[in-house]
Amino acid sequence: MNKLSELHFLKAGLQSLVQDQGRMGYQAYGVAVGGFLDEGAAKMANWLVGNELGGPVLEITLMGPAIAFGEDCQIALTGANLSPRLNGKALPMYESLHIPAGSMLDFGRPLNGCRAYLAVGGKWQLPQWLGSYSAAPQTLAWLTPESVIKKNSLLRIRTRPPIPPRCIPEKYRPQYGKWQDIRVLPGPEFGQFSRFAIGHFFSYTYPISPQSNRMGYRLQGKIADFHPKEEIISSGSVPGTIQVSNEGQPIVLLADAQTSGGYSRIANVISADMPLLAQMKPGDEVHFVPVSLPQAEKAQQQMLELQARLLGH
Amino acid sequence: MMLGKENFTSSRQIRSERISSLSVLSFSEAICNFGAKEHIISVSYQYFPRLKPYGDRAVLVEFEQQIDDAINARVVALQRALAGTPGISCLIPAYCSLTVVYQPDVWSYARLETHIKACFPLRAETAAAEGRRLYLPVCYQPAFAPDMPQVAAHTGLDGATIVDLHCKATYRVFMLGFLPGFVYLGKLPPALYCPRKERPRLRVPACSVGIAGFQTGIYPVEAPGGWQLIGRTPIPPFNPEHESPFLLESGDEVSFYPISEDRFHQIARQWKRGEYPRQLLYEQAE
Repeated sequence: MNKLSELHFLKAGLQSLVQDQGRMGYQAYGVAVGGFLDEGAAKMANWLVGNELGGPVLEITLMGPAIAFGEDCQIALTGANLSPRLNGKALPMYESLHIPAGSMLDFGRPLNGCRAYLAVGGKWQLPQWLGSYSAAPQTLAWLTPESVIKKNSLLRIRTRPPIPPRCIPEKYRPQYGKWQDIRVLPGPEFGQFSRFAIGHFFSYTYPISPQSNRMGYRLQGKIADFHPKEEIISSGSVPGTIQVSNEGQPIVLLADAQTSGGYSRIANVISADMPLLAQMKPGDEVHFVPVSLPQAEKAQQQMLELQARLLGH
Repeated sequence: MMLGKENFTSSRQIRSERISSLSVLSFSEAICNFGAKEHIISVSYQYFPRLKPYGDRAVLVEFEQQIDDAINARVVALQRALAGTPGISCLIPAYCSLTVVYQPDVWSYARLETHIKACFPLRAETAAAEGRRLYLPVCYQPAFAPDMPQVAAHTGLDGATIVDLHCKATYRVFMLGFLPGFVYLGKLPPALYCPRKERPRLRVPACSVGIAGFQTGIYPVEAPGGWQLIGRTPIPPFNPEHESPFLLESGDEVSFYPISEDRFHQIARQWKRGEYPRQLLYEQAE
């Protein structure tokens, strides 16, 4: 029953990447963590097909690929609703699906969110680099060529008998807004910003710039009353850091960001809200809300407990 | 070899400690360790770092904000002390700070803060363990040194003197970043200080050796970059296909020696085939 199934990409889509939980532990050498940006949705997809929660999925951004399935497969789709279709007919999300050999999966208009996750039951057959299947950041994509989907790419998966179908109840499926409150903690240089700058930062609503990618979201608009210090000595960066360029433009770092930087960091997005942020598209608007560390830790704990209850992990 | 420098800077650091972060812990630490000088990196250098939440999954440990060998040695010593701690998923050492990323299901910020503070004073043996010293060959011939004329014009030195100065110094790996395996090495002899290029190159070849400000560095892969290129090494600092892909790490010491173009190609070929005797990296060239 264990078969080698081939997924043939007739179209690559805008950006389709294999991602898992990332390559944690090499940041001292300048390697970005990477990994799926909407961790909750990606783990749900893996759970729905009986794969390891942190294992590889396909992260599909806005415009999806067209995929021909060589063998019967069990799949699941979570995250953004990019109008998935099987042989032209709409497909449900957030449940285990049986895909017969010879079927074609493609996508239509993006309706909600930015990134969809496709899980396929079985063992994915592609090389890891530094312990992860995740595609390396854009400029280093050549390091992980098989994790970056191109037209006519083949993704091989050693399938196994399907698990009994699973479903994520409606109330646990995330809804992604075009306008989103995102909770943040004060960043390491928060104290260097004037009261006026901070007041402005929390009252303004920032559109997400089209010059955004998996390294970071550039936000349109500037921080008022910002006077950059002459020199900030570079230090480590973590995803969720909101740094301010010398021109006053805020940039939220995401999973593919460089591991260090020398800009003032005004705030850090709390972990519980990173998936919501990562599902925002260029043009969507983000509003930052300050919280305390205990509040952030509580939100994170609740998220982990929900994952444990829902996905039994 | 760093102790002398530490002591040299110590009185100012003590002052800044008193002013900026005289916590109960650092004060009592300074007292109770007074008699145990030889075991501690430097008793007179008890600047206690500042710990800050860095999001809800990381602690930023900030030492005195200066680029200095002794301060960076403390960063690396703390990194070594924390390495392998369960629930710490990564450590990012920089010039004068350490980012500690933790698993929220294992640590809360408050508990980890206490744990990190308990690593102080940093023990001398942790610092001693860091002493890797590497000697890297560099070809400074014009084919590999497109910015040598600019550097000569800016510093008023001729090519031979630039090479001589660049090779005479011993550099510390302050940190890695920007690209996988990119090392920030310092400090250059002041006579070689040079600004970055006004217009960065779109493609700097892999293994190029550049200088910028007080630093020198090696490009691990072909990438855009603004450093002044004065040579190229046949030893790649980043070998993605190797099991341990990174030649250097924070705290290593590096010096360069000049080689001819012929020798460059010879070593490059040997390295590619896996035939270059690696122990040569740790031996001073003839």
